[in-house]
Amino acid sequence: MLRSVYNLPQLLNLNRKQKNFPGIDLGDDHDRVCFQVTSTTSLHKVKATLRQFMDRTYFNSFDELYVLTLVKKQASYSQAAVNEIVGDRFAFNTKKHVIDLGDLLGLVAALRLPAQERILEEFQRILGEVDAYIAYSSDSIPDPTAITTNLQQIRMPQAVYVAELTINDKEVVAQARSSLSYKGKARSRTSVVKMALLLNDVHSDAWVCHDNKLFSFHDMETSGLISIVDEGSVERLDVSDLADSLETDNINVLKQLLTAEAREILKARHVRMQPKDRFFYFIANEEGQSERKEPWIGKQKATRRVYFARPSKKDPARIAHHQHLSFDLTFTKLGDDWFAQILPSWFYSFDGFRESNWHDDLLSQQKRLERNASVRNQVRFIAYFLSATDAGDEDGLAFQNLIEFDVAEDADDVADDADETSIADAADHQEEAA
Amino acid sequence: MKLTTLAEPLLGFGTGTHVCPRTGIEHMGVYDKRDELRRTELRIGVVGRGEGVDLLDEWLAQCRSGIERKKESKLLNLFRGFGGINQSYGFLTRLINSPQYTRTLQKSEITAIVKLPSRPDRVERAVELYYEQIRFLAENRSVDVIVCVMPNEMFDSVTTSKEGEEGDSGLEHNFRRILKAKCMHLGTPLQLVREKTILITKQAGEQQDPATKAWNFCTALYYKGNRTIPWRLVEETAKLRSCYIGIGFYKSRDGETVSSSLAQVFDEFGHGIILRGTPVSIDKKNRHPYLSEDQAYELLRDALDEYDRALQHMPARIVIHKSSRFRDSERKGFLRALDEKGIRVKDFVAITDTDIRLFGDGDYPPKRGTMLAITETEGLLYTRGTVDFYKTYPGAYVPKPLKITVYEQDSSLENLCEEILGLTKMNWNNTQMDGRLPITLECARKIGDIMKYVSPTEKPQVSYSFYM
Repeated sequence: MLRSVYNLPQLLNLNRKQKNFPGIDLGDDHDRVCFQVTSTTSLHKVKATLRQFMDRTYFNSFDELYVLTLVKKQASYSQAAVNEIVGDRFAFNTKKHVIDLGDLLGLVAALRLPAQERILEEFQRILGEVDAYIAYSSDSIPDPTAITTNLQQIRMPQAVYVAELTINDKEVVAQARSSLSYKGKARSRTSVVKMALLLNDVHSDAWVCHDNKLFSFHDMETSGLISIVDEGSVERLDVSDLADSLETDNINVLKQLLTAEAREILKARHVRMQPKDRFFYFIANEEGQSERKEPWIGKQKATRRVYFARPSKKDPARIAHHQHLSFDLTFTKLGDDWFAQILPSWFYSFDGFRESNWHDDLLSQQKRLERNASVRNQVRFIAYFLSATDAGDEDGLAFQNLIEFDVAEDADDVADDADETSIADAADHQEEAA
Repeated sequence: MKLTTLAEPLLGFGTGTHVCPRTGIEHMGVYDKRDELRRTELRIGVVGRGEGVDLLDEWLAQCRSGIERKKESKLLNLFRGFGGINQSYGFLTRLINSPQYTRTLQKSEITAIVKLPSRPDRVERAVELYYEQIRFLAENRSVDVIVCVMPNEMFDSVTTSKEGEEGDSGLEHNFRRILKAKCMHLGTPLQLVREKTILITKQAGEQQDPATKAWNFCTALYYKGNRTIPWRLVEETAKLRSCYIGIGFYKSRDGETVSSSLAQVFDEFGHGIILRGTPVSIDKKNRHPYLSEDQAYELLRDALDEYDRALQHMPARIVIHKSSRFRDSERKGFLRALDEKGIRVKDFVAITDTDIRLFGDGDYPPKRGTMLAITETEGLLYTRGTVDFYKTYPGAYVPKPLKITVYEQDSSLENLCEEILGLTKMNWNNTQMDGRLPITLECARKIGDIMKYVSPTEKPQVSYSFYM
């Protein structure tokens, strides 16, 4: 604004040239005019400015100095006191050179109209920036005090058993056709192994087949897997042999084995794995049940609906679709530790097991209603549910705590942490409730 | 594991900096106003049927005079009014359209196309129809950008297959992509709009509010027509001169071969160069495409040559963003190219999806900029999330973070994440500041979309404006 009012196109903020340019704030060394901007109106300040000006011989660069006060200036300043400082080397007229915003406005008003408009525009821009800055810096969303992850710590089983498979695929499929009334074509090795086990009346899913070998966390003898492998080839490995391996194949076998183990554990608790997309979903505890609720403890004791047979609107006696709480469960190594990753979702079936034609639409409708808080609670509920599956096997796979970060500004606030750490005790409550 | 929140990167505008593109343009003017030679007029060519042309006229008039913000929303910064586009404000540019720059399509032709029984035929004929008029404008009129207005029924008929129609021949037919690829050699960027989008009515359903539409429409027109940039990233002056490269992969139209596409973002004006890679191999095990050592070497060598040609020196530092992990062969190839050109400082960064999620304990998801460092070379970055400036999470459900994995590493994980966060704001197709992917990968992906329709013998355009 000073640029236009005083017609000083080269006027610069000297502080930008040199941090805290001493004595003066703005200067135009072409027209040899400079400004000191101050919020103090006293003669003392004017004198101090002039003293600096003289001491630093700024009069070599500037012929005129203005002192701009941001509040209303005094009625008058002593010219004699000023003269004493500047002597005859510089001219400073207190009446002319001490100015305030009122003087500035007077000068603006004296400009041509278009020039006034330009100043108005500039002024609006400045105000706009202030506006935007305030809008940006005034923070109305409270910062979170804790960040929960979907990473659940797990306890790895100690050992992995490996053995060579001895089955003849063709024979297995032929037998399955005759005695299991199997009709399809065996697509993968895994399904052939599954059939071989069923033919031996072994129903476990806690195994992985890879490279003509069968892997399991369970002893081959006690789990019945021995029926389809070469007994002499059974070997017991330490889990770390796979977990710390540099071969991606070994790591992948371990990840699959963890999923298979989880599948077996969850089967007993009426949580199924969908065979195609391999996610888990809650099913009814018994046939004909219209709703299944599970108790859990988040902040306090609560129950959560995990399965619901929604009646049709037209004909309430019929079921429109079954809604299942579902989740992806994958395992990953981060740094040196292993974690389960929980991704909650919903599954819509037409018969309690198979995907409804309207699954995609129903899912997107549901997800449109869900926000951070609800998804977070789903994760915490599933983690709680998984951690309560510790079936007494002290060496087996166990689910522990969710990783949580306390990000509160005063770290004393650990109320929510306490919630998570009480999961172990809560497991007992859960059993009682069951 | 360590959790931090990175600050929202600042963007540079005409007279200052701000975090938000819209606020910045409005208060401080477009960045290139510093350029004395910038153009202050934008000549717009128009192709559409009569009604469409009329609608566009009205829409442009609205854009010129400004559009009020969405009244019913309290989110003042997310739904900002559009202050208009003219020479004294914001974009500091005049939009010019006139009947001389307008080509009208005949209604009968449109009806004939809509009636064709097979979708590939409809797409082909529609492209042909627009192409003829676009070519006339590009060759005979001095226009900076051509707006194609699509009638609703035509848009529906080229995007959806009718029931009972014989299935597509396995070849992709995407009207937008084919048209952009076909018109590329004409050298004038295109902007496609639907009549439905520019019809000024009360806001309906899923559509954006008119002011937001105007922001996005005008910014894209400005960038495409002016060949310059409305904003840039504010970079520390002490930082090494870096060249950011994005590498993506795209399938051919028949889905048979996969090729790599590369995008470069390299000077302070954000001008990029686009290169097409060669067809690549697919890993038999997990079906992920990857580059052989020689392919990686050639791709990076060509990119560096282009950089040299444009700026007449070598960058001090190279950052490669890739949408999948770096294999040994790829690392070897890239390193060989860098070694040959004497570039010592480099960062190879894989940016992928992840199953890990974070949740705030309140109503809002983590902030954009939330970063979880898992190890020194592995971390999580939220590029979408709660935005303080918007005072909300401008998205649905919960945001998905990006997984950042670093291979050859000279910068810290945090620095690399800060750069990625900054590059998410450099998409001039979007004036909302929270893009999910950095422009390097976003651009590489868009290039792939269009490139699959460009014949291998044709020299593709180098500017992003022909692909966005």
